[in-house]
This record gives sequence, structure tokens and C-alpha cells, in this order.
Amino acid sequence: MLKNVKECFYPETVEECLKLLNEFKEKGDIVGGGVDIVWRERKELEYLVYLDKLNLNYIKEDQKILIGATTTLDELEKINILNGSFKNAIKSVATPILRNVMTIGGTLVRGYSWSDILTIFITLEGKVKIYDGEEKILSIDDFLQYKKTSKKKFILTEIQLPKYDISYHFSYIRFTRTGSDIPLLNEGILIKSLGKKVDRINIILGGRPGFPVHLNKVEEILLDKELNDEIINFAKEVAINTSEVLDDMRLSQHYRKNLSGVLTKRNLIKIMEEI
Amino acid sequence: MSKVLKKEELIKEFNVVGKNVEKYDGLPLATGQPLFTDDIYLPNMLHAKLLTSPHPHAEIVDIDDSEALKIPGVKIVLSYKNVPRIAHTTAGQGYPEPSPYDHFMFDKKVRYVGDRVLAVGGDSIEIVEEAISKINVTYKELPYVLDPEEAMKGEVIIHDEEDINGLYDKNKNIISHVDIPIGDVENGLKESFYKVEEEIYFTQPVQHTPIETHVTITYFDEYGNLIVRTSTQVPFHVRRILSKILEFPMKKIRVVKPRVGGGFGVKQELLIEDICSLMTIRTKKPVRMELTRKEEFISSRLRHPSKIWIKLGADKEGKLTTIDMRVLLNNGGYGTHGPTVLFNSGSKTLPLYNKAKNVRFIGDAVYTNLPVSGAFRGYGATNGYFALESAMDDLAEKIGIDPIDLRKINHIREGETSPIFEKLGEGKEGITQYVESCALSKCIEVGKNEIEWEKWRGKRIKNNNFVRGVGMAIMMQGSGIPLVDMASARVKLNDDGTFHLFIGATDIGTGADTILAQILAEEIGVPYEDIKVYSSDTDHTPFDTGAYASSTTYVSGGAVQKAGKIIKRKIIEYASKLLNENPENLIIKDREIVNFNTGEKISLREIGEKSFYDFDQEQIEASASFVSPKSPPPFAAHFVLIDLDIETGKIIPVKYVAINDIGVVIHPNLSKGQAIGSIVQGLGFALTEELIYSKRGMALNPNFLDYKLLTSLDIPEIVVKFIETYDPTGPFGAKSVAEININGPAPAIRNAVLDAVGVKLNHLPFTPEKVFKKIKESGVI
Amino acid sequence: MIINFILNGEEVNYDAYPGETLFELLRRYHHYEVKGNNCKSGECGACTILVDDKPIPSCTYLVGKVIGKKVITIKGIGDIDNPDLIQKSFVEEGAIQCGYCIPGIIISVENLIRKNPNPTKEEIKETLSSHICRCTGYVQQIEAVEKVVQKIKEGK
Repeated sequence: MLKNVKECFYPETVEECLKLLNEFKEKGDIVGGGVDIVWRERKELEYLVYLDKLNLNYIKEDQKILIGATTTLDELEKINILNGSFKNAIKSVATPILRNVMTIGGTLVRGYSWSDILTIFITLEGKVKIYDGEEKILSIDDFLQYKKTSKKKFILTEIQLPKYDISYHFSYIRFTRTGSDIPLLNEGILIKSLGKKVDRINIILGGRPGFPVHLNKVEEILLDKELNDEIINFAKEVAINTSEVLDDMRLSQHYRKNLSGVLTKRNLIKIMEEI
Repeated sequence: MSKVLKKEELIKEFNVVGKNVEKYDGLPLATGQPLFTDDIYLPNMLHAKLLTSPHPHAEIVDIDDSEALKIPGVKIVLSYKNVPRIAHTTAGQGYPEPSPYDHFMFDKKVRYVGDRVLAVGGDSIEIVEEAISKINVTYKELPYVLDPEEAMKGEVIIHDEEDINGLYDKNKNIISHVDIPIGDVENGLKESFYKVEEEIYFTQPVQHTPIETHVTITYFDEYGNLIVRTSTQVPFHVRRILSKILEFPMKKIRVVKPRVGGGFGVKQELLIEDICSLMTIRTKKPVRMELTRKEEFISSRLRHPSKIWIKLGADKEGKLTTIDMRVLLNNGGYGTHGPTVLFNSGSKTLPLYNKAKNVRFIGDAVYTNLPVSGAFRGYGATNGYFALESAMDDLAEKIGIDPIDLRKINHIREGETSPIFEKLGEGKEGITQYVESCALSKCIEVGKNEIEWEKWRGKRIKNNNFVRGVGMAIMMQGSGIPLVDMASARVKLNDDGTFHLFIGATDIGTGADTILAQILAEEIGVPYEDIKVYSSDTDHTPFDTGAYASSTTYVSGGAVQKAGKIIKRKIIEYASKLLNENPENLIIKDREIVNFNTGEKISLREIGEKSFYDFDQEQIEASASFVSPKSPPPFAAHFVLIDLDIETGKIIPVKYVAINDIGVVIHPNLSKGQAIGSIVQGLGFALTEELIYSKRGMALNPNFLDYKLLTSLDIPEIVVKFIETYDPTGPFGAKSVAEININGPAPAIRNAVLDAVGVKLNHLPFTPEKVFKKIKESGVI
Repeated sequence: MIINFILNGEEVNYDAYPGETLFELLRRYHHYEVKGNNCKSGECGACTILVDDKPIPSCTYLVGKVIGKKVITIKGIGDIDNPDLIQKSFVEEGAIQCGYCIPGIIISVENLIRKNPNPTKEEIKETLSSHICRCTGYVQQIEAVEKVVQKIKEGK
């Protein structure tokens, strides 16, 4: 029970929505799926702004894949790209009943360091469309930066994914304690292959804690190379030696470092088998 | 001792026992009926909540609740300032309890982060929460101690009250101490051909996490009786303790246990009933209190974290000569269940290897400024078996024999006894007993084949980053507490020929109501459907100690069987008068009393009707009580196949086999459920579950986000089989099944890792990080 | 605020606190068939109900989202006199011990079978992973679902 909440609002346009948020300041917030709002029980919240009447529940395929912000994660399981690996990544998040309520917009805006979604969408070079008085399209990294620095209220309305052709390969692995756990470390790899060679590569390590980052050194050594056991083992070692990870109650820094190598190796093996 | 009879001689064709009858409360539960404590609405009900200590050890200097009491809707604040000060134990045990009387409803001192400071009652939970935020408690912080070995130095004294009693050494924080020498351990070890030198094992704090947390609703009925509707395993103990600490007449207290959403030991404890009751007494209003998940983690009870030292010695043939075991239990801020869990960590484990001539069991249960340990399925045996069964594999390695063979040479058998039975009881001396049923050898054989032991053992088969290993452990438990646990049952015949069964026994989801109805139906000779069960209501059902110590099937079942025998005799006597026939010629069959000489029949319905209205009028009924001088142990052999991910240290259980001897199986499906449920809890204990504390003893993960319970995706293939024996002292030959199987997973997995990579894991739980570190140190990778 | 929705086929109008969850509202209106301790994180799954044909943890679902929607609790699946195939199977297979988590689990299973009448064992496990059952260890629940699937195949 958010006991101080006095009223719910259902704006019909983003402009109206933004107006409400600016009016309420810290006393108001957007409800996406609501999971996080309920869980955190913020005492200051008096006004809840629902996005239900903004028609943001959609998945459209155009030049890009456009996903409305209030689309729940279970709907994303229907996006069959990258040889099913995107769908599988989404299906590994939380539990089925939670995926039925968690929205893609809410998950990105909340942006917990252990988020699967952040890692997946950064790896896939997803973009977000926000409205803060004007419409902006930002990469996820820029969006995280924007969130940190901008004091403006905003509404995230859409997430965009590039349409990947068959030369792209994606793999996502999360390390967990149990089958329905948050990831203690996660990693996504996207590779564009040219023949057998790596033409483009993103390796994103998340759940470290802190926001997901590129494993730049590993990306560098793999670029223009053919994937084979030898280079993958080398990539594993480089990941272990160069990954920047942290301690928390769940895992030590030292162990996370080792894991970053293991995840890198396993993601690369999966992609190698696909290429 | 009595002659050990063969199963075939005794297990006759049963009609109801051994059948998967429909669980008594199955369909009501599956359809979401309002069966649980909290599933009622009472007008004008108050809601209560605790304010708990933020400090590990502190004196309460003052409590200022003046601002809180000004909030409209706040009705009552209870604290040390306004409640009776009566020393008691919160443990729901037989009277006098073996646990020390070291607890007060509210005290002037707090002893762990999460300890009770005060409770507030008000019109809604939101109002109460606001009130709590406005209460000013002034603490004087005291030095604290979290480690039991440090605590035993006595530099910090946790219980210095004058008015407490029943503990071993206040000045050293020792609740209970035991030192049982049998033979000569020093000499035994010296003369042993094979030795396992001292190894130390650690078990972690884990919580029961019943999905229904503790919840109680209290109110006054029309006659001024205090009704306590509560989620408990021990309604009669709750009534007794409440009466004492509230100074309220027992006659006026009625404790009712509705369906309970899981217990596992944590509800063998009076945790919130006193607060609700006193608020109802003071305000005359109904009061409801439910622990939040966080409170359930930190302010209820845990499994004792422990440190166990063990040494073994064996002769040239591998026969155990010596077992030396020392157990140190961290009891937290209060001593509840301390002495008994301590004794059980030896008494339920050491008799398994009764050939050893020299046995020493030393132990201490110690106060620290951590959350409180209490009863948890397995009750000390789980801790003890982790050490003992791990050490047995180390011994097998030393000798160079198969661990299965080592156990076969040494385990207890039918007709044998162990001096431990006599030396170690429930916080005091025990009772000599002989094992009258034991199929452990067969359990081991069957399990060995089921897991394909020879195929995997010692092979270290690799598949990419996985190495396969296989491990095992054997175990026993008890069935009730001999000469302590008492149960009773009352049966009456209705005028439609059906029966009402009244039992104090406490079904907490285990299926007790079902199997007790089966036992009655079998004994009388009627279908299961003819029995209606009323249980666990201190006004309307007869006494029973409650649901703990694996006692219900054996002890409560014994009472039900006895009552069944009596009412059967009464029915036949009545029929013999009615039919003018010698009772010896009459039997009850298919709802009829049959004269097997003449074929003449009279239905139970007619007997019921006539006894009410027509002939020699009386209520045909019977009551009986049962207490046993024995606690026949069930036995089990567990086997586990694991894949160990050597790159991450993650252990993946692939297949788990548990072969049980629980005597005659009353209800196969429910028994299987008890076994599998225990195994999965045991796997969680072995692999993922652990309450983690800060340096000040504050729990850091009291939630399901970071306290990891296994899910359906984490369980291996599990095979449970029962090798039936007949225990002559149990109802229709039954023993118990509730606890035993939680003892196996930790040592079996530990031994499987030893098989896979030669690494000894002695610290629970076996998290990937810990395992990885160990295998890295060992140079395997 | 007054909110209306369809509960087990009937239109209801309830006076809700704008900051409460659907779980809190339903319990407050005596729909005790919805179990749970309000873990507020959706992690135990006991309070699961169907909203517009999707199983969701009602303890994380704010009432503001339910307006005009179709809500089904375990009562909408079957009752004592007329239990659903899944409810019967759970009773028969020993898949119920304390039963506290069971209404939520059956809701999830009902949704699985409605959408996929022939699920694999892995899909069944995946469905059950939304729920914590501390009593059974899940095995007999998986078996109970498999029995239902079998019965549907046999046209029973």
C-alpha cells in the first residue's frame, strides 16, 4: 500500500502527461508495470500517472523494430529475431508472471544495475524515444547519462531496435543462483560476421554492479578475426584481466572477474557454432 | 526385547492403509477456500505490529510513545513498561520444557537486531506503521558478540537477569552443555588402524520460510473466552504458555489452529500469540498480527548455525572403533530449543554407527547477539549428519574402500541397540531402545542400483566444463519423543453409521488429518470416506503435544488406533446385545456387523440409529491416549549425481535418489511428498540458502530477492522409494517420514564433489564462489 | 476511488485506495481465495490471479491498472462441487501439502494449458518457476500437470 497516494491520472497525450509530472514534481511518478513502485513504497508519492491511455502498447516492424513503452516483457518474447536468441534472452528475465507485468519502458527507466534488459538492449544498440518537452532519440548509454544529468521530467515512449539481417549473431548469458534469480553478472555479445570473420562486435557486461559496459579490449582482439577455440580462450583471459567489476554481498570482485571470462567464452562459443 | 517379526507375517492386506486416499483438505485447498488463519473478517479488528531492535545488544533507557498515542486510531502500545514480567521459553515443548526460561514478553534489554522492543495496535496497519515511526526509543548500546567461541569467554554477558533459570552457565553464555564419554576416545584413536584426523564443519543460518508467515487473530467470544486463532504447530503448548505469561485462566483460553501454510519447525514456537492476546484482553477488540517476510526472517527463528569437530577411527577391517564429535551451536539471543537441538545432533546421528566402542559427544549451545535459532526440520540431526557422513567418506578414502562398503560394515541393524539411546535424550538422559525394524542394507542396495553407482563412481567423466560425481549418505531420525510425546483421540459413532474423529494432532500441511482418518478407518473396518476429522482445537479436541519430532503418524496414529480398537469393541458389544449373539462371532465389514457363523448382518447405520433412539441408548464413543517408550527410527540411504561446472564452481544436481524405510507406508503419495519436500529443502540448505549478517549482526538479505530458495528449475530428477518394514510398536507398523530426508543432501553432495574433483567442502552452503575457490586452490584447474 | 472490473464473470464496483494493490483490494473485500503475505515483489507467486487472461502477481499490481479489465481468481477456475481438471489432478497426485501456494500455482498452470495444451516438461517447470512452494519440492506438481496433459490428450 502506497498510503500517501491521493489520486490516479490517466493522461491521453504525452504533453498532458509531462505537464502532470512537472506539476507534481517528486510527489508524482509514472506507473509502468508498477512492480518497482509497489516494492519501493516511496512515502513521498501522492500522485500516480498511468500511461494506459497513451496507446504505447505495441510492437511494430518497420525499418526498425518499434516497441511501445508499456509493452510487457512477455510480449517481447514474440519478436523472433537473431535466430531466436533475442526471445530466449527475454525469456530468461525474472519469472513468467513478472514478465506479464513488467513493462519494457519501466524496466529501462528504473535501470537497476542488475537489469537484464539494460544489457540486452545496449548490446543490441537499442534506442529510446523520450519526450521532455521535445522529442529525443537517444542510445541507451546516452539515455543513462541523460537520466543522471538532466533535471527535466520526461516520458519514455518507445524503444527502437535495429532490424538485424542474417549476418548478425547474438548471445546473452546471465549467471544466477537459482532459476528465478536476478543476474549476478550478465553479458550480451552481438557479432556481425563477414564470411567467417568478425566484422563488428559488441560485448556488454552488466550486473557488475554499476551500469553495463563494453569489454573494449576483448572487442579489439576479436575484430577481423575468425572465431576459434584458441582465440576464444584468449578472449576469456583478456576478459578476466581487463573487466571492471565490483564487490557486493552476492559475489566478490575476484570471482566476478573470473565469471566475466567464463561468460565471454560461453557466449562466443555459442556464436561460433552459429556462424 | 520382543521377537523381530518378518514384514510378511505382519503386513496383512490393508483396505485403507497404504492407499492413496484423497487428501482430507485437498480439494478445499485447491479451490481456495478460506481455510487459513487470516482468511476471516472480524469487525473492529485492530492490527498489531512490532518495533524491533536496530542494535545487536542494548539496554532500553526509555520509550516515549506520547506522540504515537495522539494519532487517531492508535489504541495500544505494549512494552516492558506495561506487561507482566514472567520468565518463560517461547519453545512449544512438553512441560516442563527443556529450554531455559530466559524470555520475557517485553524486556528492558534487546539482544539482537530484530529483537522485540514494543508492539503497537491500531485501526489499520498503516496507522500502526505511522505510530511506530513516531515512537522514540532511547537505547544504551552495549558491547556485543556474534561468534559463539567469543561468547564463551564471557566478556559480554547476554543474559544477566536475576529472574531467569534453566541455563547452564550465565557467565559464559552457555545455555546447555553436554559431555558424554563412552569407552576411551583418546586411546581408541591411538589404537585405530585408520584415522580421520580432526576436520571442522560449518553450517549456516537458514530460515524455514513458510509461505504463510506467522499470523494470529485473537478475540473474545460471547462468553468472554479468549479465542486464539493461530498458525501454529503446537496449539496446546500455546494455550499453556499464554495462560502462564498473561496470568489468564487456561479455562478461558481456546486455541484454534486452522489450516497452516507451512511450518517446518518455526511454528513450534510462541512468537506473536502473546501480543495479540494481551491486546485483546486490554482493548476487548479482535487483534490481528502477521509477520512480514522480513520479520519472519529476522524476528522469528532459524536453523542453528553450527561448528562441528569430528574425528573417526577404524580397525584394519574398516570397522569403526571411535567417534569423537564436538558440536557448538549458535543459539542467538535466546535459548529456545538449545538443549534439545544440541542433544539431537548427537542422539539422532551417532547410533547409526553403533559398532564403535569409543564414542564421545561434547557440545554447547551458546548465546550470541544474533537472531534466534530454534526448531527446524531435522532438529540438530541435519547439522550432525553433515559432519558425520562427510567424515565417513573421508575415512573410506583413507582406507581405500568404497564408501558404500564402509557404511555396510558399520551401520546399525535390526535387533541391535546403541549406548547413545540411553545416554542422550531430550536435553537430558535418554531411554534404552532396540531397533525393531531396519531395512537400511536393502535401502543402500536399491539406491546404489538406481543411481548406477558403479557407472559413475571414481570415473570423473568430463563433458566440456562439467565433471560428473556421485556421492551418498545414510541417515536415521526418530518417531516422536519417547515417554514425553503424548497424543489422544476421541471417536464417536453417528446415526448414519459414520464416525467423527477428534484429535489434538496438528496438521500443518503434512496430511496428518488424512492419515489419521485412514488409521481409524482401517482399525474399525470402514471406508475412509466415513470418517470426518476435527483437529487442533484446545476446547473441542483432546490433548496432543503437537506437530514436531516426527511424531504425528507414530504417536497420534497410535492414539487413533487405540481409540479405534475401543470403539470397534463397543460397537460389537452393542451389536451382540442387539442380536443376542456372542461378540466373538461378530466382525465389522463393509459398513456392517456380520455374524460370520450365520451370515446375519446389521448395518452400522442401524447400530447408530438404535443406540441414539431405540435400544440400550447411549452415545457409542471411545477415547484413548498413546505414549511410547520408544522412538523407532526410520532409515534412509541417499545418492546424488552431480555435474560440477569447474569453470564457475556451480554444482548442478542431476539425479537424486532417496530410499526410505519408514515402516509401513500409510499414504504413499503423501509420504513421497514429505520425502521430496525434505530433499529439496535439504538441497537449498546445501547449495543456496544462507542468511547473511553485517558486522553488527544485521541480516542483509531478509527477502526472496537475495535469500535464494530453489525453484522448479533447480531441482534434479528425484526418485523416492520405500522399502517397507513393519515396526511392531507403530500403528499398522508405521514409523515416521517428516524429517529424516532433510539430512541427506548436504553430505551426499559434499561427497559427490569429493568424488568429482577430490575437494572437501566443509562450509555450507556450497555456493559457486566457494567451490570455485576450493577447486582452484586444489590445483584441479 | 471507485473502480470497476469484471471479477470471475461478474461486474464489480469497489471503493479502492488509489495507492493499494489489487491483492490488498481483493482481500479487503473478502476474496480470501487469493492467498499470500503480500511480499510486494511478485517473487513468491502465491497471490497470482489472471488479469485479461494473463497470470500476474496481484501483490505488485496497482488497482489503477485494473479498471475495466477481466479478473479471474481460483474461484473462477472451479469450486469444491465442480473442480477443474487441474485442481483434481493436484489433489490426486499429492501435489498439495499446506496448500497456501496452490491457488496461485493452479492459475499459472491453467494459463499454460489453455495456451499450450501439450507443454514439455521444461515448459511446465518454467511455468512453475513463478512460484515458491516450500512444502512439495515441485516434483508431484510437475507430475500433476503432466497427468492433466495426458487426460486432455485422451479426451477425458
